Amino acid sequence: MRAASAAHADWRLAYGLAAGVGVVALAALVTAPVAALLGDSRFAVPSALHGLSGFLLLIVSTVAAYLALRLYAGRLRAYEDLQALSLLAAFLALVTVLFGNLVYIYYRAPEGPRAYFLETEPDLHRVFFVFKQFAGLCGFTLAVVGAYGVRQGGPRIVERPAERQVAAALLWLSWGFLVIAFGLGAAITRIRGV
Amino acid sequence: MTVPDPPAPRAASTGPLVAAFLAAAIALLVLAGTHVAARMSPAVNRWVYEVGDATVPYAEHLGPFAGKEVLWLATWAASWAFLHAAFRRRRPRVRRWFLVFLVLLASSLALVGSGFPGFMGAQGP
Repeated sequence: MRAASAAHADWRLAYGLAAGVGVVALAALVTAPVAALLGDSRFAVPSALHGLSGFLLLIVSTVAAYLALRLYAGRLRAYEDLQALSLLAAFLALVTVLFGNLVYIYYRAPEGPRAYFLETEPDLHRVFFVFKQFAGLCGFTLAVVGAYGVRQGGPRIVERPAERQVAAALLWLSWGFLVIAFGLGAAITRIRGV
Repeated sequence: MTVPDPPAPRAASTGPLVAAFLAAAIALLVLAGTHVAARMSPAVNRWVYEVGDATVPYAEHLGPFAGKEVLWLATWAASWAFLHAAFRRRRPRVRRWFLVFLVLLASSLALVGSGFPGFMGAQGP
């Protein structure tokens, strides 16, 4: 019975996280002046969702990176949690990329931040934004491959040093790129918001 | 009558894992290479834009980035399928191929960084 359940991801932790975030988001929506919070840009909602999914991704992938550390050392007990969280991180990375594409439409519009950066400080676009884009797509790609590695290895991956170490390294690399993308995104938004 | 021991379970193939991370690295290298080529050549930039325009709705708002994403995803899917088919029954050395993956990833980072002013001799306009 245990072996059968171990073959499938244990989603209880993810459900708990989602429920907690949902309650907080609902409380914020009900009590906060949302229009004042988001601003009047028509890209305000996709921009807020891009940031929100990126923030959730940061939390989920950080927990997954911690579990990956235990996987690397061969001391992972919560295989199902790592499987569920790595899959959730890959999904959240996809959602963040999709909303990021929507926000990018406004970013490169004639009155958008890109035009402002190219006029005032071109390196902000050429270095920070270009690298943020690449880091975000890199983080998503590696999140998918990391989740695949954990799932493909199965619960007995812990007994296979090379595979468990590589799967853990993929999750760390993904986490690192996502942190870079999130940090650069936050910095760019602070300079010129959408 | 003695009951023979059950056969030892066969070691799982490492091929699918190697195929997955190599395909990811190849796709990221293509993404970075497309970015550099499009920046250096207006003709390539135009072609990348047209790839996006032909495949992504509202791609005109995204510019050449839509084409870069399409090429990245297409390369990822194609190389993953090809490498998975080639490696799935094999047991390649995971650590050795992971080094190849790291080299490819570092190369794609260097390609993206080649456009940064002051990096690898690049000059800002």
